[in-house]
Amino acid sequence: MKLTLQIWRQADKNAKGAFETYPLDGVSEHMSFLEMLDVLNEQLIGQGKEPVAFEHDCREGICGCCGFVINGSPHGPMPKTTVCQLHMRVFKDGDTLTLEPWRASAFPVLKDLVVDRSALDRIIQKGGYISVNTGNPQDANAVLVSKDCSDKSMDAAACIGCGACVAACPNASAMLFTSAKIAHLGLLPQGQPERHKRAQDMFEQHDAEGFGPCSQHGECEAACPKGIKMTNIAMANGDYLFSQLIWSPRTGPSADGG
Amino acid sequence: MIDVGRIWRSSAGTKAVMAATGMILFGFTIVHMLGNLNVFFGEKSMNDYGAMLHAVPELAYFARVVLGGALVLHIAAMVKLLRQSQAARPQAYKVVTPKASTIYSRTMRFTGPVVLVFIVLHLLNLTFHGVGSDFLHPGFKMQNEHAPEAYHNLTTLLQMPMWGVFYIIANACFGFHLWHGAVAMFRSLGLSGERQLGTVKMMASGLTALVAGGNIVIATSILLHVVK
Amino acid sequence: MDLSNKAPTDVDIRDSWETHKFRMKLVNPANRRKYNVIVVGSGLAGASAAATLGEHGYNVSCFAFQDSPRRAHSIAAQGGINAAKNYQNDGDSVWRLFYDTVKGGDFRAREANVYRLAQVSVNIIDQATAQGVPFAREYGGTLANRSFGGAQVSRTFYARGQTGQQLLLGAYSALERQVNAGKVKMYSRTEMLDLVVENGRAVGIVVRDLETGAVTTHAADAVVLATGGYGNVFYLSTNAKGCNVTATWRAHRRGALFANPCFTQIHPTCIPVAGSYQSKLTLMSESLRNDGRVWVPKKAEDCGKAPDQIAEADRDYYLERKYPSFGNLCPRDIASRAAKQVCDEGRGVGPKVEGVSRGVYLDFADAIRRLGQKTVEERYGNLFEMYERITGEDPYKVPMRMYPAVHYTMGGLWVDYNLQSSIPGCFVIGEANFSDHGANRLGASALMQGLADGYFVLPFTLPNYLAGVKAGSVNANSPAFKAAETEAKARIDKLMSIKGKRTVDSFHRELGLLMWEKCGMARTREGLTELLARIPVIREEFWSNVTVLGSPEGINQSLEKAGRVADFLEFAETMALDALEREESCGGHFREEHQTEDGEALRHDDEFCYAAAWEFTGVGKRPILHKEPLEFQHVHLATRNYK
Repeated sequence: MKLTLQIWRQADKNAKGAFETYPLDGVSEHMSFLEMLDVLNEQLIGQGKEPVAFEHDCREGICGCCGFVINGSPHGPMPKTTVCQLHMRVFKDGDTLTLEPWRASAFPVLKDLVVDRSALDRIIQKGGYISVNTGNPQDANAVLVSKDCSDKSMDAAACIGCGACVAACPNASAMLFTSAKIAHLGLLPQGQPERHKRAQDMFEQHDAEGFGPCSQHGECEAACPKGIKMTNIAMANGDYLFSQLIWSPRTGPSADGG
Repeated sequence: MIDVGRIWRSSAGTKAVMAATGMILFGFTIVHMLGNLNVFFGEKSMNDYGAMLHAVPELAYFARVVLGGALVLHIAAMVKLLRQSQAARPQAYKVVTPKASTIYSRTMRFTGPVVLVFIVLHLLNLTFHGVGSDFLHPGFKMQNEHAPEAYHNLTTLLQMPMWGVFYIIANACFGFHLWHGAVAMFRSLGLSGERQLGTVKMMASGLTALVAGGNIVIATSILLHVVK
Repeated sequence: MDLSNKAPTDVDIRDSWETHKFRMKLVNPANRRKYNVIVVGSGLAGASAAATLGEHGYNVSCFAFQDSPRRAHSIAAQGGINAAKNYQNDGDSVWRLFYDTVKGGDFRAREANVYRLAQVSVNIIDQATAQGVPFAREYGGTLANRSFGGAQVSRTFYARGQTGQQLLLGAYSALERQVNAGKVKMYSRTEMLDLVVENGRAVGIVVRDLETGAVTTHAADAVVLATGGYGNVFYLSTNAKGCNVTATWRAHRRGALFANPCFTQIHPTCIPVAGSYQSKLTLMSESLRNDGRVWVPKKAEDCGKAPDQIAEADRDYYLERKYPSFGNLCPRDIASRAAKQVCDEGRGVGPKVEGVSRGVYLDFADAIRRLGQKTVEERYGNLFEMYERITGEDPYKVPMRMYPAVHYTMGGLWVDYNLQSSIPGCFVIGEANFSDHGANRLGASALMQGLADGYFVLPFTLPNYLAGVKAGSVNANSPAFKAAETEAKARIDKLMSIKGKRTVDSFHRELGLLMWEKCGMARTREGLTELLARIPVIREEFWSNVTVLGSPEGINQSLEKAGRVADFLEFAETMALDALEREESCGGHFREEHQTEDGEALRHDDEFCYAAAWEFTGVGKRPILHKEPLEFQHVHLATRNYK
């Protein structure tokens, strides 16, 4: 099939970007979206033009590297599908596709469709863990965890950190990402000691990175390739408010960095 | 001690303020709408209800302070969050394809100000009759020093097509605002988990329909002279 | 060349690790902050090592070429992680895991290393659980297990089909905690280009900042390479697109021996190739073989029919037929070759690519009947979804189509019992070392080894080295650093200046296809000889006709790829040579000349019971072979038999 691609091209962080239009012929419906871009890039190189920069690695929907906005939808039109798993059979011959990078002030564009998502790492640094050193903790079966808790925790832990929630949110909020980690750990008995401090510290970092507030639009949930639920946001909000109104966690890092 | 400043500075805290004040205001509007249904039971019923609300003036003033405070905080939170939201996405997308957000959620920032204008005019119409021209409070009458002649004032006002239509439109906007807000506020306060979500949604939309629908029915009935 | 492995020989194997730990030197807690350690790679091995060393108090710098440490390819492991917990009370033990791993590796691994791996496997599960890894659980709240290829006990722990992801996120969270504490400095989007060796000791690395293009050097008291495997030498593999051999190959060029490069694992259950544009292959967890039944039509003429049109009697459940006791759960190499065999016979299914259907059915109809769709969905739901997204077919209704693909590389830099390479101060962990898996890795053992190395082995053996060197004695302005930096920059300039006609990918694809044909699932003397003749030709053309557009400053993905492909073009030759020299079939290395009458692998223990460690002598020059003899005192050499 034949496509018209309108792609955001931006030379570097400080350059002013613009859309460029590229026609592409001979696209197979069995190609993945990124394979289609590979074909485009090989053609561009042949014409002496710089290929389109986009991030990708595992190409099986788990590493979270890839992602850009296709016709207004992060990761494209298929629900629960990263762009590397999106196949061209979804599109029709003659379609015009507009490709834009994630847009958020917390995700500066580095080149073309590549953005800097290190803000998400910094949110995790503030508390997205259980403070346990490598050593000899008790036997794994010493703490029983109900299957239900474990399953729900796993639902939240499935987040791949791709940033589609931020891209989709009309406010560019990273609350779905942040709350997924708070819920993953907060639903397990191992995560209880730091539960409220975690919510407090991660929420404050979320704001410091320049992400927007959550207006409960639900676009994040619809865009999430891993089906992370907004109920996590409700839970994290509860944990945060508990930390501020009921139980105030000590502030500052502990001796060993927790 | 509760660090109010810290809560306010965080977006989730601001959001909680918005939700809590929204909840207070929503609660008030439910009672307000139910009270207004007295209009269907005749002049005496309505005026007695009006008089009852003003029976203890201190209580009435207390309620005004709480509601006024809630409203101010609600608006302040909105201004802060709106700014934060705009700063978070300085460059807009060329193409946007909404999937889950609704017309209700996306128009909150517009329906809110309409409702605010409505509240101001509504208070000038029927509460602060001493302020402004007769245009704002046509034929306003008092039962006594405290209580207005509610039935007369309301019907006179809403039988004027301009006011009647404005009240209907404003309440429709209010309904839009609540349709999203009433569910969102539970989540912002951390009160709605997976299990409660359905119930919360049902309850919130039921009450929204009741309040906005009730108000619109009242206004329409008066406008069309069903209630005279 | 000293190839002594340094494992204690004077004690029973059961006590060797404890004894060794006691004998090793320690670094006083107050002195640890004076030592700088570089960890390259942030996957399971790298992240767990960096985090643990940070917790101990060392100054750690961790480098990753992706934008975040959480992207490392460990994240893609699906099935699970083995541990000798014996929670199921089905006869498992450390000894049995040790035995299974040595046997599964076709007797080409070092016994002492494997025993240690089995020992610490139990600690990994405890550690990961304490970190909040949401392993699958039973209704009673205890951890659930499943069985996996190559084992007759249920010892595999899993988190849905995302075990690698959850374990990596656990290690990543521990790492980020140390970043927050200031003990680990994370360098994302930074690729290692070379190892700096001074006075025979690894003292630092040369890196390129992939965002700015700046080439800089970093000095340290020790360098840990946790940079994964080289499966992408085949271009099409289940590895992530970025996986490369550069870090280990550059260390090899600086003197580290490369061991057993021909031991590559082919994974039996991957989604078949759909067309010539294919950029990578997608693995479907081997756990699918627990409940799925593998078959092809008995008659070649049935292959075009829809699977539900083929009667039960006309189906050949070839794994169950050939290996009645292990059936669909036989080891990976055996299952892979069996699939190749039936497809070579013309009984493959699915669309024809270049004239041949290369695929076999993996059928869940029986499992759905036996367990119900809900249970099957619970176990494999996300894998089924993934399959449907890629192929457009619903595996609940139509059997999946599978074909083997390169998946893991057992070979890697040679290391001793301390995980130190032949360059003092250069440690190699995870898939990057030549590892504990011998000639074939059992399912669910990669995660185990990566974490064992990072959490429980390196943090003991590295201090033993550090205690012998003066902290902070490395001078980053010394000639060795300057020379390495200049060399790396010159190489980039060279790549940019060729301005030829062919793209980097076209070279990579050409090399990969050739490697898959001649050095893939089955190898011959003839094919390998031809391969050895053709690689230098491709390499020469690469260096005279490749095109890299853009600038060396800033993000330049073509330049990144070009550097990696250039290294693959050198590495491939050593790999092919190793395959040619190993005149036997064992594990993932199958030489057609060496097979039994029924087509099974035939080892030659009298001649080849060693780890082949190659020493670099120059590009295009024949490397020198060193042999570390392997002794089997506890698991007696025997022909693997999974019948």
